[in-house]
Amino acid sequence: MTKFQSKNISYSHRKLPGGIRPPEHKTISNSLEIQTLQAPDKVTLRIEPLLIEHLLVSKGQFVNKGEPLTDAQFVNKASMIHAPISGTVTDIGPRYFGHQSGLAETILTIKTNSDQPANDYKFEPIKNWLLAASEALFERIKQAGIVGLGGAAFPTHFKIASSKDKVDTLIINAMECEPYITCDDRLLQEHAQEIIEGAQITASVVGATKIIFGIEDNKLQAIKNLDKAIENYTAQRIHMEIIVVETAYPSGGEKQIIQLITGKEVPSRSYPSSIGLLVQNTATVHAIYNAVVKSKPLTSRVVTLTGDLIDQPGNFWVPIGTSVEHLIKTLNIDSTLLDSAIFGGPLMGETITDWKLVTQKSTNCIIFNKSPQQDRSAKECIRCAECEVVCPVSLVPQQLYWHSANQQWDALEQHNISDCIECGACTYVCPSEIPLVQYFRYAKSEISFNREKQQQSEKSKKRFDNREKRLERIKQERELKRQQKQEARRKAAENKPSDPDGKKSAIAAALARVKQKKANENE
Amino acid sequence: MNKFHQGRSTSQVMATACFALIPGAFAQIYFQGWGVLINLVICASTAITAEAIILKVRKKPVRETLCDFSALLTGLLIALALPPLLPWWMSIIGCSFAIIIAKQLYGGLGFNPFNPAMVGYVLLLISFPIEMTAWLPAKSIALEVASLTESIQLIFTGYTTSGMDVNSYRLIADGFTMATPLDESKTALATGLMSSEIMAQADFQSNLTGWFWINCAFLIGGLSLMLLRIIHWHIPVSLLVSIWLTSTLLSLYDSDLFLPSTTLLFSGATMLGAFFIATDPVSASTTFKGRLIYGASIGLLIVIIRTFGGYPDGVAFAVLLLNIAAPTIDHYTKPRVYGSETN
Repeated sequence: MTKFQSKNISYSHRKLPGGIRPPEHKTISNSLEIQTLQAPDKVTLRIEPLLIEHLLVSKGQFVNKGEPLTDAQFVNKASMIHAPISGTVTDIGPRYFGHQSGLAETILTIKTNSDQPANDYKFEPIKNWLLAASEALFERIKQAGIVGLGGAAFPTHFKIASSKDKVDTLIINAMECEPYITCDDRLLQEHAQEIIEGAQITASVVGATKIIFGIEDNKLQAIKNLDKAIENYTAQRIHMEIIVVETAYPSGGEKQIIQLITGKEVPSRSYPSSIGLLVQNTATVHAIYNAVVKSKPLTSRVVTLTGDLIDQPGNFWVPIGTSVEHLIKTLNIDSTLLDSAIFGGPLMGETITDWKLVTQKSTNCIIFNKSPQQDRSAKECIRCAECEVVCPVSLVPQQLYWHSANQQWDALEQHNISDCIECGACTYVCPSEIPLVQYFRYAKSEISFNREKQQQSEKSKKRFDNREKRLERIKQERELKRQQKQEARRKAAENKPSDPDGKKSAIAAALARVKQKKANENE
Repeated sequence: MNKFHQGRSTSQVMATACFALIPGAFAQIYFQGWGVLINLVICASTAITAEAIILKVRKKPVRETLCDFSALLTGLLIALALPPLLPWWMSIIGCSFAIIIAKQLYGGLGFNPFNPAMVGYVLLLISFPIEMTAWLPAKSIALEVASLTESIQLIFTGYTTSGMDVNSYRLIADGFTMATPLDESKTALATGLMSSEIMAQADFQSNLTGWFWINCAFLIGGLSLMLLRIIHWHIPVSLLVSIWLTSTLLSLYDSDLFLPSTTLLFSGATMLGAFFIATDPVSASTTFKGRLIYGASIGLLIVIIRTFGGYPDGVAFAVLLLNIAAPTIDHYTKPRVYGSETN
């Protein structure tokens, strides 16, 4: 591997404890410039349950591209959505939309309307973000509906808010370690300047004093362009550097990039901010740049459209909510040869067969490959432990598999299943082709479901116990009162003086007087 | 299904292990005669037939499961552990027991707690101790060498057409029978001979040479499995180092009473055991540290059984004993998980 030398660049010697080196398939799509996809005439957006109550639009209403569809003041743990194209809202409501659970989701459909002149919505420009208050920048990131574009789609404003003033280093994740995906690579090659500005904005909002770009050594051109952009960045306020690591999957996992770049580990069940770090994906900080500097909300993203069924694979700006159907039509894909497509990368992605499904903010890649000739079924585990060799977090997947298959949840928790990052390296190497990650996902969801149930039952048990105690206490108090009263009565009876009004003594005195008198009379 | 996979299957792993046995099998045929080849045929076909029958009974897919080659591998391993002129029905009992009882009744491939080949072998060793220790001397010192036809006759009828039995092929020039070097030295040490005196005997030496080359051939096959990353280095290396270390310490204590470490390393089933038997993933320990402990313990037990035990070789017993311990070893050798303080 040719090493590109520069004062901004250092090469890390650190390696993942496991990891794999699958064929990259990246050259198919990373040589062409990012193109703009022919806009679809219909988009469909999924509305997060938290936002259903707070929609700003109704059916039949015309919306401009970029217009916010939800009320920003209610967006805290969710993220804002905006109209990806101009047009009329034709449908809002619960519809089945290809979710694996088979349940309906609330969706919103927008169709282009050529009658009405479109007027793209933009935010009020921030003239010079360097002079803007950090609260204003934060508010803009929140308003723009930015989420983690590396695949997790976690609301960025939420992540930033929980890291604010706790972190000293911002790591920009440019690893892009999964095969086929090249959208971050292309973004870096073409928009390095904008990306570093986005990183500067993010770092200043959270109060970081250092920015590190973490990138794999297979993206030489991106490294060069990034280095040049850092050299040319005159308004530099926060120190920037590039750390290049050896290409291996999954170096781009949040915990893994931290380990590779800093040598530190995020403690189990906590966030990177607990060790002073914040990780943001390349495309995410580019979206932050667009929101702050270009005043544009997140309505489209770069998606790698690749696979052997596309004549010219490459990267495209695709509006959020574009259907696979539209992609198949515009890219001239022979759908007779296509059984399924992969959303995301081949290792962590999701295989879909319903062409009505749409791209999300998190969709970084869609792979259209010819369907495989034969589908081999899984065989029994022979405990070869190849999975253990490649596991980047040092789990023992062969044991996890055994316990998952036998539904032994306690044993799974003892084996730290919650630390599994679901990278799929184990599935990739398993000679028996067991879909290990599927087992682990299932086990994790069962465990959290059971835990919730247990917590609830513990709560109600506590409630019941408290009630019993309360009743017992009331009973005891009553008993005590009763006893006290009785006691008081008894005491009162005892303490009653033998001659309360002096009657007896008066009688006795009278008798004595009579006696005396009689005696006197007898004398 | 989304199949993005590195492409090596369980069947390939098993088939490669079968291929890696070829050098050792050739050497064993060369030094122990045609009987080894006949055993290989009997055991392989018995193992496959037994697997097919029991799969049918268990209502499992027969053809697909046979294609994982695990039954074939078990058959081949048993064959290579048996004396060359063992009566055919004993081989069949051993292989059927290994496949049906030790493997399939526990649930088949992946579920057997014990190494099936070694269970089959130990069953035979305990049931037929005389036949199971009737090894042949090296060809160079043997009085008679059985031809292919004679071997077939001996295995299937017990006698050749000329009326000879297995024992007549075990004689060497001076009219004594010759056992394996490990057996021979055990008896000799018990009668008061010194280790160096035993080693100095010409017949013993020529016999030892045969076993040396057989072990070398298995070593070559085993190393190629390691290079192909079919097996990991942990178990074979820790096992061999442990044999070397233990036997060296014993020799240092008293070189007259104990065999030199090279004899222990290159005779009997040492290399076959280290690379092909102890490495059976299903019944072995699976963690890194666990594999080292597992291999080293087997090595230690091999030396102890060979030196102080009642049997001349101890690979099978050592492996089975450690099979029992493997789950416990795994439990206590889990690696430290990312982000956690301790194990």
